[in-house]
Amino acid sequence: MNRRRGVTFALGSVVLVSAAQLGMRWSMTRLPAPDHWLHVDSLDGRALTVVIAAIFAYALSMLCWLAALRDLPLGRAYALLSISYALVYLLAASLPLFNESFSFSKSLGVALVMLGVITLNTRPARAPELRSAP
Amino acid sequence: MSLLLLLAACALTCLGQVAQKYAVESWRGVESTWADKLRSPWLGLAVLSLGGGLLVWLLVLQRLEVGIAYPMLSLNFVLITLIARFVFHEPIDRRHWLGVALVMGGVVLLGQPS
Repeated sequence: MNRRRGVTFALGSVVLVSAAQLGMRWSMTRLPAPDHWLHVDSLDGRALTVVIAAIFAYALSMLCWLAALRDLPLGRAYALLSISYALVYLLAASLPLFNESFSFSKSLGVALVMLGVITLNTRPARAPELRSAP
Repeated sequence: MSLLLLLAACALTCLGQVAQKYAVESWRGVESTWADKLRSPWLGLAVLSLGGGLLVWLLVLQRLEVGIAYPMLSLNFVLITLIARFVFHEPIDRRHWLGVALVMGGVVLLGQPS
């Protein structure tokens, strides 16, 4: 077990998946809705490039995630991944590019979701971790 | 409609994960080459549903703010827990149900129109 390597890969996965989600949102709001797909005159080339890059980043984040799981227990890894919920919310609300906003109920919602994901994935301290066997 | 799409994205992703589980289980204990493994119908279903889930997710992002839609994707954990409990009959402890309740509470808050 090499914990530092595991944490590095998990944080890499967090950064990649957050960038992927923001990129997908940015590009999808600039691409036509499905009911217009049959008669599209012109596609925003930049948005198309960004959505493809975002899907690539998303796939890469999954590979980083798998690499992280070699060194970290699942509970620890999910606790790190839940950072991406806060990161995407904070960035989307603070960057003017996205036109999204903060609110108390949304912030509380994100916090509850993070707490829930961490709770779901932590084992009680004394229970043996059956699934971490090779 | 947006909520329906979000649920569809979650359902497809879960289907993909369950299919992955079956694919891995079908490989276990059988002598097979890589080509045989790749031809497993469960793997095909997994790839199709994960791809479909991604496509539906892109449509969700045309309608919902990513700052709230992305955390709502954690409904996946709730769905997977229900499938583990009621389809695979795995035991779920009280702590796990508490996590499910927290995630659901958060998703309800995020779903409030602001």
